[in-house]
Amino acid sequence: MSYVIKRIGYAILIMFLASLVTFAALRVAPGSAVTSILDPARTPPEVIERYKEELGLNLPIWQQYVNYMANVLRGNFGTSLFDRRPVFDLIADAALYTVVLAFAAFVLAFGLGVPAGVIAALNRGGWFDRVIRWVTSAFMSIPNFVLALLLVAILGVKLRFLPVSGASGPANLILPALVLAADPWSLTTRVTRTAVVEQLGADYTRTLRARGVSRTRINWRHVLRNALTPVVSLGSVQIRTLLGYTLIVEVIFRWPGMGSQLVQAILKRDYPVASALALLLALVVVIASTVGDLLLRAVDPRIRSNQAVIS
Amino acid sequence: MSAPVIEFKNFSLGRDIGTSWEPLVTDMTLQLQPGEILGLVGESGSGKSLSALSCLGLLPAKVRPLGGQLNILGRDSSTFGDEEWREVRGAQVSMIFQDPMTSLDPCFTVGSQIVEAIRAHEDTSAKEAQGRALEMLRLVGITDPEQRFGAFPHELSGGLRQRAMIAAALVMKPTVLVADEPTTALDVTTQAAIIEQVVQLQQQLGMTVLWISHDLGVVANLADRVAVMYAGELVEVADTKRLFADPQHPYTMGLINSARVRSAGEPFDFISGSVPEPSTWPEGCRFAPRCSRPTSVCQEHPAMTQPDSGGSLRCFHPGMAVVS
Repeated sequence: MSYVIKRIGYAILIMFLASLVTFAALRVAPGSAVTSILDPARTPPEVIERYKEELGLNLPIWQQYVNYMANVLRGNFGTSLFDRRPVFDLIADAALYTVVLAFAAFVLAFGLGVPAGVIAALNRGGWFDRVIRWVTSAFMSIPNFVLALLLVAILGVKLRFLPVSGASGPANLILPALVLAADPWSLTTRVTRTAVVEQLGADYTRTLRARGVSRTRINWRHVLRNALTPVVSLGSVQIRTLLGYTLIVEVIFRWPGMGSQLVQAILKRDYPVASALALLLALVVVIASTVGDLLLRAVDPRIRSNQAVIS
Repeated sequence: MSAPVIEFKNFSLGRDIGTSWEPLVTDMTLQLQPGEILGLVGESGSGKSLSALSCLGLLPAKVRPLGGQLNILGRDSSTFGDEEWREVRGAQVSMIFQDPMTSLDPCFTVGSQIVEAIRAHEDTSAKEAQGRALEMLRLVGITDPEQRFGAFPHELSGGLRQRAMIAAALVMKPTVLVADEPTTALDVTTQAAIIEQVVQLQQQLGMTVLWISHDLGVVANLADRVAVMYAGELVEVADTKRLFADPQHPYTMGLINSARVRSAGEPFDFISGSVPEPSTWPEGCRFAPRCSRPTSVCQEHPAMTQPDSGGSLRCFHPGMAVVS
């Protein structure tokens, strides 16, 4: 229990550091918010001054941070510098789209990867195992934008099977989710297969057999449980990678997520939007790794005994 | 004498090497009498562990019985299917292994693994099985069974882990316990305690024990009879006292000499060379190349004989080698 509290405290600390970094990085970036809205050559100095005042840019930097955090904690991310809408309203929809897409891909990758890995391991050397090895190598060596174009060309354009662009219905989710899931699915399948094969040869399986425990029970209760440790650690790492790729794949499929928004906001130096998005991404990653660590502890009693905080 | 609980009759084992079968154990004839402790001794690669695993049908992939017969509690084991073997394991013939750390599943508590051993054979309630597991933990000399029951393997010392292993192996009160070097991975004081525990349990439960070891010292303290294996075959079987007092096979003599406590400055006495790989076994006596006094007759392969002194022996020149 104390570990859980410690781990959550650790997550909060990381979020604090992340907020410092996003805050600082955006303030340090060349070109101030004011100069990107107003052309300093043609704007009277008092107008610039008024803008600075309004944005709190004249305050000492630490106070700017405190104000920023106080607002963020109340769910107030400020207003966009361009269309003057609250950042929260602006990004809420996009964030939801991104999370839905990333989550769908994650579920596909693990929901199909773990069983595929287990079945391949239990029938190693068989046809299923060989097909899996072949398909996973293919998926892992094809960059996902190429895979995206292939799927769009075949399923979308040639067969007119699935919508290739936009987010007008649930069917629009299928192609981008498949493209996103291909790589993590392959990795999950392979890691699961390797872990299960390793556990199948472990000494304890022989001991259990020597006590008359059935092969089926050993495989599904003991081997699977022991093989779970590397799979769970992979899962929490993959959420981060997946989020990064989601932002790219969104652009290819015109999925209205945070990807294009983040790029736009950074290019326009729309501080409030960019820093809110960056902080949101950091939050998702920190939650994923916290949940991953807690799960790992639940799965493996050896980790439970070791009270050290694992990041 | 009552019927043997385990009986090898000209039993042989081989490994599938694609085009043919490479022999690993040949012409093994050995009876395990009810209630005895039989030590099976030999260097690694002699085939002792494979012979032991045969008694539970747990041979590694590609290794199969090639000939002869292996009877378990009077039944011919070659007729056993998967389910029959499963029913034998743990309930009639049980086994403990060398490394108690890797031989227990690290993700489950010690207690749950003992309960599982019971419920593999009986439809008992979880509560009753737990009671029996606790009783067994106490019986193997664990002083606070209630606490140890819920412990994970990594939370216990090597000695306690091995005791828990023994508890799981014996909870179904099997007729035969096969012990494959169960004390090798433990330190010396723990070793002695575990050996004593097994002997005590053997008497309490009336078990028969097949104790496999490369350590003659351990076997001398424990076994009623000793069987010595070399390069896939038995070379000498005799009562423990007789074997140590008057070894007949030069290999047995060599083993005893190399295990002997020597005084300071006295040179180590060992058998030069090493156990040959199955593919390089000589046509004749397999020990001849390492023997101190081979003769031309040793070009032939010696058969197992029953000398007047008792036991059995595979040597043309019994007792001939000179003990230095």
